[in-house]
Amino acid sequence: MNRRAIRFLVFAAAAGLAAAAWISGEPGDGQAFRPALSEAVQPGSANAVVETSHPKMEQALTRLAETWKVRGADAARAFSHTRGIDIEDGRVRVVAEAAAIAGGTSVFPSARVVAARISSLGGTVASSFRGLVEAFVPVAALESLAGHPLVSYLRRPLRPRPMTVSEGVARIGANLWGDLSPFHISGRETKICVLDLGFMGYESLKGSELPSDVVVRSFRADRDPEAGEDHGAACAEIVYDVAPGAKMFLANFSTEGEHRDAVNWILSQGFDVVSYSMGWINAGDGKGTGPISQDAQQVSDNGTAWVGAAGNSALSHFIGDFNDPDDDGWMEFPNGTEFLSWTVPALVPTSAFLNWDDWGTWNPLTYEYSGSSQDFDLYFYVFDNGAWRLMDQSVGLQTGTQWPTEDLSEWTFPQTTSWAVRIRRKNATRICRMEVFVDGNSGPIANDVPQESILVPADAAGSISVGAVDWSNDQREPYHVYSSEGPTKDGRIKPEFCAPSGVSTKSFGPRNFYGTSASTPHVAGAVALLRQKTSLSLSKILEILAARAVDLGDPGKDDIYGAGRINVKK
Amino acid sequence: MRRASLALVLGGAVAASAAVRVSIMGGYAAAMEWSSAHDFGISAAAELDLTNFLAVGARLTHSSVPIPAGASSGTELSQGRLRITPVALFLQFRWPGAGRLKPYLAAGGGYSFNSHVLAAEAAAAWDLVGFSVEEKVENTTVVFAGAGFDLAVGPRLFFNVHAQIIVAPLSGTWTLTDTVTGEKATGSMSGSNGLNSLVAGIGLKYQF
Repeated sequence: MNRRAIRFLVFAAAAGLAAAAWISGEPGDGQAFRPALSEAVQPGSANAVVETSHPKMEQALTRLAETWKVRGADAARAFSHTRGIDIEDGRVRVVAEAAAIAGGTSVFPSARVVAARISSLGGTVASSFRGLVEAFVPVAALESLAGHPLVSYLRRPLRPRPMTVSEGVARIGANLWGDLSPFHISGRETKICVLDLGFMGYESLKGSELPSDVVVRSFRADRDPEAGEDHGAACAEIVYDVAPGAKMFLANFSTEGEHRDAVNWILSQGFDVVSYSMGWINAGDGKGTGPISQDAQQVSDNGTAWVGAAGNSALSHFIGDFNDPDDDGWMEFPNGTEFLSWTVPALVPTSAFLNWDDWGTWNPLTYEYSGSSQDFDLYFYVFDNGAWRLMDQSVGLQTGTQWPTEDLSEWTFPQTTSWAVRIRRKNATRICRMEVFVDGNSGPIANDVPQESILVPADAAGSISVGAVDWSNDQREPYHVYSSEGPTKDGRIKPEFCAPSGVSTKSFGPRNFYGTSASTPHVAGAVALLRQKTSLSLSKILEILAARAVDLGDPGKDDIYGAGRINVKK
Repeated sequence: MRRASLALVLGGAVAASAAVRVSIMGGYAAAMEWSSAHDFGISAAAELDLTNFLAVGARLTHSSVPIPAGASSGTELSQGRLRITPVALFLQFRWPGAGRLKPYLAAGGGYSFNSHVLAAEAAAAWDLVGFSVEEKVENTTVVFAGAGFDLAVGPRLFFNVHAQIIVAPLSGTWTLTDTVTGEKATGSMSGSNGLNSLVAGIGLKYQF
C-alpha cells in the first residue's frame, strides 16, 4: 500500500499547532519561556551551575543560592523557572523545618526562634504550624538561614499538582455529570479506546491527567506506545476530562497494516467508544469505502461508537472537474491559471495529494479497488527567482488496478515562498473530478474549496465525525476555519457534530490544542459519559446527543457543524 | 365461645386466663440489603390468647429508611427513601410461667404496601443534565419472624421489647427519560430478598 502513497495526518500535534500559530500569529504560552529553561539547565552552557549540596538545604535551593551568589539575580531567576521556584523582590518562598532545642522534644520554641531569625535576615513569615515555618526569605540569606542550629532543613513548599482540564468540559456540560451515580447499570463497565500514533509522556500523566489503571497497547513493530508523539496523550487527556469514570485503553499504530491489527483487537475487546483523532488522504473514494473507512465501519457495525475527526483540511482542499479550454493537456483552475498555489513558511515541509473520481469498484472482502482507467499526473513547483521551478512529479501508471492517486511529499525550501501543483491529463476518456489536498500551507490555498474536504475515515457511514469550533464561543472564525466540511462524495451530510477546540491539556499546554483532534475526544467522552451513567443504547444516545446539540450555522443538520456543538446538559 | 372456636381450629388447649393485648412500639428500622440504610420503624399489634402459651394476632408495621447514594446497581434501588408497611397475621408462642417477664416468639405473613421516593438531590442532579428518573416499587407479600418480651409494670400494662425481620421480595420498575427528546430507558428491579428489613424497638402493651 506504500506505493500508493497513502498518507495519514496527525491533526492537532502538527497541523493544529501550526494552524493555531499561523492563524493567530502568536506562539503558544508554553513555548515562550522554554528557551530560557533549556539554557539554564544545559550542562556546560554559559548558565551552567557547578553542582553543589548543603546538608540542611534542598538541592534546588542550594543551587539557587549558589547561582545567585556566583552568576547574579538574572541567572538565578532563569534557574528558578526550571525548579518551580517563585522569586519576588529577591526573596523566595521556603519552608524551614525547626529542630527541637537540645534536651527537649518540642519544636514549638524552636519554630519561634526560627521565625525571629527569618525576620532578622530580612524575611517575612507567611505562616507557622507546629515545627514548620513558611516564609519569604532573601535568596542571599538562604545559606545563613539553613546554617542556623535550630533549622533542621530548608526546602521549597509543597505545592499541589495542578490538573489541566479542557475548557470544553464545562462548555458541553460534562462537568455536571461528575457527581451523578449511574442509574441502573448492571455492573457494566464503560470502555473507551483512544487509537492514535503515540502517547508520549503518558506515564507521567497517570493518576492525574489519565487514570492510574489506563491500559496501553502498541501495535507498532517496535511496540513503543509513546513513539515520540504526544498527540494521543493530549487526546486521551480530554477523554478522561469528559468521562473520568470510563475504563481507558490507549492503542497506537504507525501503518495501515498495524491499523488493521489494532482494529481487529478493538473488535475483540467490546469497547463502547473509540476516539480517533486522525485522518488519511488518498485512502479511499470519500464515499465510505477503502481499507481505513472499512475499518471504521466494521467497528461501528460491531456496536462500538467510532468517533473520528473530520479533518483540518478546509483551507487546503480543491475539488473540481478537469478543465482544459486550451486543450494543452494541463488543467486550468477556476482562477484561470494552470497552477494551484499556496504559501509555505521557510523550512516547513509541504506535500500535495491528487486523486480523481475513477476509483472503480471496491471489494470489501479483498479490500481492493479495481477498474480504474483514467490517468492523470501531478507536477510540483516552487516559486523561485520570479518563476515557477519544477521540483518533482508523480506520474504513476493507471492500467486498471492502481488507485487513482498521485502524491508528492515533504518538500522544503529555505525561504517562505509559494508552491504549486499542476495536473496533466495523460490518458483520460472522460471528464474526471480532480481533488487536491496540500499540507504545510500557511493560509488558504488558491481556489480553495472547503466543501467535501472531510477526510478518510470520517466519510464512513458509521463514523461519528467531528468538526471544530472555538471552545469559548462556538465560532469557527477566525481560528477554526480549517475544520473540514462535508458532504461525503456520495452526498451524505458530514460531520455529525462539532465540538470545542483550542483547549488546554497538560501535553500541549494552556489553550494550545487546536484542531478536530481536540474536538473529537470531547464527543467520544460525551458518548462514553452517557453510556457510563445510563443504560441507554448507543443509538438512543446518539439521538439524544443530536437533539441536544447546540444548532449552529444553517438551521438543522449541515455540512459544517453537523447537528451542532455537542452538549450533554439540559 | 370465641376462644373455644379458635382453640378448636388451632387444636390447642384453651387458656385458663385468655386475654386480648394491644401494643404499640417504635424504634430502629433498617433495610437489610444496604448496611447504611437505617432510620425508624413503628409497629402496632393486637394479640389474642388461644392457650396459655399460644396467641394469634395482627401486626401493622411501618418502616422508613434512606437508601444511600450509589446503591443502585442494575436491579437495586437508587438513592432515596424506602417505605415498607406490612400488615401481617401471626402466631405467637409465649413462654409459660407466672413471672413478670413473658418472652415470646412470633411468625407470620401478610401483605406489604411499599413505596420508594428518589432523593430530591439525586432527581435534581439528573434534571440538571436533562433527564428525569423514576422508580416504582410494587406492593408484595411478606413473611416475618420476630421475638420479644413483655415485662409487667402494672396489673394490665407491660413494657414491650420487640424485634422482627420482614422478608419481602423487591419488584419494581425504573424509568430514565430524556426530557429533550422523550427517549426512555426502562428496566425492572427484582430480588427475592430485596426489601428485607429489620425493625426493633420498645413500646407499651396493654392487656384487656
